[in-house]
Amino acid sequence: MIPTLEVSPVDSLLVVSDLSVGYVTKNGLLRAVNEVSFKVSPGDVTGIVGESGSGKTSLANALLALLRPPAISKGRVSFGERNILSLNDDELRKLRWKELSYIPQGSMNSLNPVMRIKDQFSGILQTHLDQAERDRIRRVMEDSLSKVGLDAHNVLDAYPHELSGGMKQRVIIAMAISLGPKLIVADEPTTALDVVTQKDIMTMLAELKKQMGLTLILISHDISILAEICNYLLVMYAGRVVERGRSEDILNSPKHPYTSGLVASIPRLTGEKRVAGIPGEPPDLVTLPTGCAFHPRCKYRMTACVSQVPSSVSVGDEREVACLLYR
Amino acid sequence: MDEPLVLKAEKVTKHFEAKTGLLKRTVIRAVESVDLELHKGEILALVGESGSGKTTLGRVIAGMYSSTDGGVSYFETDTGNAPSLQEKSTKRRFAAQQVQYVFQDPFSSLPPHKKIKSSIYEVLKLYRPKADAKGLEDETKKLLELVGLTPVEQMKEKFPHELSGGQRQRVSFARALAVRPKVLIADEPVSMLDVSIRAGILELMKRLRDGEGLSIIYITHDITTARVISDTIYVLYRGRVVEKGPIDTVVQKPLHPYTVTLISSLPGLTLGSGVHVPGRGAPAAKDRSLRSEPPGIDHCVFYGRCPIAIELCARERPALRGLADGREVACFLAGSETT
Ligand SMILES: Nc1ncnc2c1ncn2[C@@H]1O[C@H](COP(=O)(O)OP(=O)(O)OP(=O)(O)O)[C@@H](O)[C@H]1O
Ligand SMILES: Nc1ncnc2c1ncn2[C@@H]1O[C@H](COP(=O)(O)OP(=O)(O)OP(=O)(O)O)[C@@H](O)[C@H]1O
Ligand code: SF4
Ligand code: SF4
Ligand SMILES: [Mg+2]
Ligand SMILES: [Mg+2]
Repeated sequence: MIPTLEVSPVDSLLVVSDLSVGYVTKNGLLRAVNEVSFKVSPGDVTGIVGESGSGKTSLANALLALLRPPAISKGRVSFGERNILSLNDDELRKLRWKELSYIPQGSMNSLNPVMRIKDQFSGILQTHLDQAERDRIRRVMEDSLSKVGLDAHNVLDAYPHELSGGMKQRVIIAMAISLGPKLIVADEPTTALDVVTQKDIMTMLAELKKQMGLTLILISHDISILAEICNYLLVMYAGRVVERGRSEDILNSPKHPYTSGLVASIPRLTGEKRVAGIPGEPPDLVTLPTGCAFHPRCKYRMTACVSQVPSSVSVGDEREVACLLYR
Repeated sequence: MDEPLVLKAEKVTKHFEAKTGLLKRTVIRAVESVDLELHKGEILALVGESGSGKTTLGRVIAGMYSSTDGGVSYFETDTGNAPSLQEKSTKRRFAAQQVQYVFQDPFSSLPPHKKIKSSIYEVLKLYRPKADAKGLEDETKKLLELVGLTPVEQMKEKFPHELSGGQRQRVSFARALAVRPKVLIADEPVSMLDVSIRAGILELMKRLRDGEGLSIIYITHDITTARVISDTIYVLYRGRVVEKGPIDTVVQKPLHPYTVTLISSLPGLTLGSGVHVPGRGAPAAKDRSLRSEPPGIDHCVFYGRCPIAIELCARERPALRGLADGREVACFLAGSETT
């Protein structure tokens, strides 16, 4: 590889620039992700929050170069010095699991029901370890299972249906950390789990991050869960990042009207028993509203909002908002 | 509650048999001896983790499952003197009409090839065979209005796939209401919906209680939305009620160790202050099972996970006990400390 003369952003592990994803559908181009840019520094825990269909999974798939036709993507994803989107399959295979791991949405339910955990786990390790390292497989499996709080002796011989949802999710996380990646991207890692298990998994992820010096990107539709462990949040609406900043800043004083609506929608266990929400429905991504995609639901809508797409502007330290109120 | 009872479940038990091997069968004790009372105009939250028996209990109450033991009595609150219906066939018919079930999944619970107006019309027609077409059409529109599917003239012409999840869930409510039930059992009606549109459905349930005097059993694993709309809470654990009472009393100061675990696991953002949670911040058990279960079933259901269990808990099952604040709790230790 020819070293670039351009100074690479040394303090960033991942730099995403103008990333867009579209799907060619029979009704036209569906714009799932629109010109998303952000950076992740080593040790960050970045949360991507947005409601269903806002483009979170499409963004994750694009980040990891997993999209296949009819999906089209453009933009740049720099991981260290490499642009992930221009790597070939072989280069990608070397990167995955060893440098970055991906936990896709619903992966705990995609464990093969007729294979014991040890066979699925070692299968992955075999494809990613060199010949010389293969005698380590058993030890790697045991180590990573114990890191996620599971007893390897019980779990390795089990079939998926013998494990609870929380245990399956731990197995998936054990696989993801097994080859010591720097970055883990987890899409809805706690979604189908009950609150108690959710809390256990989040606590465990935070613990692993500390122990192993991981960098995490966590995707969820639930901002209250992300707020527990993320130091940065990106809020997505209709394929765009509408707000970005430190978690506490966003939660204490949301700037984008969508973010404030979202934060106000969280039901609380104390205080007034009011149910807030955002009127209206999320937009159709094939025929996006003109201007700001949130304008049909926005109570601060101005004339300009209907025709002008708001670009991200800085509104403070590490804080950006894409809303015409902040021009 | 001064309002009359609409239904009362007594010692409702539901077991399933599951094949666990070629010849082996195990009994799944989905619901164990549950007593439940529902009053007119009450929203009762049935809360508990996955597999705790919420849906099964709901289905027994709706007459969709017969109970293994115990039974449900339904009262005709309209007549004032509230005679209970005991005779089996009347009871079934009554349950089928008076108790309507709204399912979790708004994506698969509607007939896909029918316009919204027809899918409601067909339910109306079934229950009011003598009404004329004009009357039924008017009633269809009224129902759409009631559940907030406006503008009605546009909405009634749509097909399910043209609606968002929240709108489809409103159609499910309209279909259930078409039967003019006294009781609605809403099984996780918002858990598949985005937070920003959940509010609308929760508001709708409140409005149905306040405006129409409907009684609602709100099945959920989410204690925060339960608190926002419900009057009463029943906390289920492994098929048994472990704590029940006025929802504010229970939520502000949970006493059963399971309820405590449930609340202390909530994200900080939803908790806020003012909630007294004993042991908040205690480390989570790695595999959530602290000790092995004693053989037999005569022990506390929560024994395996309870952080404060005593020796007695392994050989005796605590019954629900009424406390001065109006709640009942099934734990030997709950309420004994002076906190
Ligand atoms: N393979 C595909 N072909 C066509 N459209 C797609 C495809 N995958 C996703 N989409 C569409 O792209 C949009 C964004 O979907 P995506 O799965 O990225 O959203 P999400 O934010 O992850 O939602 P969820 O919270 O439901 O997981 C949606 O409108 C979806 O229907
Ligand atoms: N038709 C059935 N046959 C066999 N077992 C069943 C059946 N329905 C439920 N069960 C079992 O009964 C128990 C209680 O299940 P139920 O669906 O009532 O729980 P739930 O509280 O509604 O859970 P969830 O929150 O996941 O919906 C579970 O162990 C479940 O596997
Ligand atoms: S740009 Fe306009 S419509 Fe969009 S969020 Fe801001 S104020 Fe609302
Ligand atoms: S009875 Fe014993 S085991 Fe059961 S909840 Fe109370 S203290 Fe825990
Ligand atoms: Mg997704
Ligand atoms: Mg259920």
